[in-house]
Amino acid sequence: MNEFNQYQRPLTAAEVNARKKRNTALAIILIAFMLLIFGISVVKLQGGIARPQDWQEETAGWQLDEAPVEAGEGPPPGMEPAEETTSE
Amino acid sequence: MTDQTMNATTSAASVRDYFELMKPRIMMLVVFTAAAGLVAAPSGIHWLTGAAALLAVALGSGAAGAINMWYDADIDSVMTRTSTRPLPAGRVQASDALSLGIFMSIMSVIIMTLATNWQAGALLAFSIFFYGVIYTMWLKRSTHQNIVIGGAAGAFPPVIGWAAVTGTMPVEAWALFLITFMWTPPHFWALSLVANKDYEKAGVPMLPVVKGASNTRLQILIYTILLLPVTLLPTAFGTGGYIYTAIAAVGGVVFLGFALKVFASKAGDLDMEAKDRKLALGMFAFSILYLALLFGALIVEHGFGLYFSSPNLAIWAGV
Repeated sequence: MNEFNQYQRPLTAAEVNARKKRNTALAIILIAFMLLIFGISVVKLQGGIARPQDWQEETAGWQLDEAPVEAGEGPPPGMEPAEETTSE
Repeated sequence: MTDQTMNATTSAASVRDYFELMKPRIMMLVVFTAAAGLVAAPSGIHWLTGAAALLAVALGSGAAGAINMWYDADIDSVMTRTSTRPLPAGRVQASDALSLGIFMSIMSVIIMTLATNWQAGALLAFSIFFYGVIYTMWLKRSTHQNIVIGGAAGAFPPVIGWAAVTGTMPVEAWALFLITFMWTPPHFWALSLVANKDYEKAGVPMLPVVKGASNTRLQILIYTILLLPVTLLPTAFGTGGYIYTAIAAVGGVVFLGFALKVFASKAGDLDMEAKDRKLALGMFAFSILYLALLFGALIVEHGFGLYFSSPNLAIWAGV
């Protein structure tokens, strides 16, 4: 048997069977991993999506001038209150 | 071993052989203690996220086990107790075990970080490193305090579980760490008293080999006495309720009883009798039950709504 054939020898029936079982296990693990990542993504996304009904309840009683504004944050561009102008 | 036979051993390796590389019994205990930390943390977690965190802990534990088996294959083949493991028995190739260990380490940390937070992921990564590198490659073969310091690796899981839920590691979580940390020396030394010939043959400086059986029995007693107040720390912090406290008290007394009997016995001596051997193995077996009961009590209390401390009991009773 030359060096090449050492690595290419035919597998026995037991070895083929063992390989098949290892591959099946790997396939199951990969599918389970995929489902796990999908599930985690869904759970994480659920926490980040604003639910409209929550937003409506939270803002129901707000007056325009009571709306909370982050410190240092002005009104959105184009929504600035008109400056009072004095006419001469 | 020639390349041809190495190829053949890999081809014949079964799924069970790879699973065995992960030290499944240790993995179960690790997952159990992590679950205790997870449910005892004062906050909620989505069941899928919690399950993913526990899976990550299991994978991390298995990864550390595989790396340990890869590195210790030489001494495992010398010791009777470990000679049938997949590597010394030639069922799995060493490089396969190492690859599996590294791959699973990376995957476990990724899953933990994605599912929960970076704090839990970082602590999991550190615990794998601690067991796989600091304990296995350094401490185990260099000092008779190997188990004492290395025990930290197995003590991290409840803190990881706690961090997975809250993103923090407060003193209550470290109290759970301290329980396993103080429990490990008497647990492992009880076994090493009866397996000291194996360790001596393999050149592993376990305490009975270096300091003798008498000193080991004394150390077992000292650590057991120190363990008892440590098991009551969760009660002091409010993590453990009545069920936990009762189990900690009763279990602690029984464990102390074992330690006293082992101290008075000839376990590990050259003229050790069968009853001494049985006693040391009995203490080893009970130590596993003791730890499982302690953390099981936390799971029952917090996971099944049975947590009652003084004020909680009053509310429950409608007072």
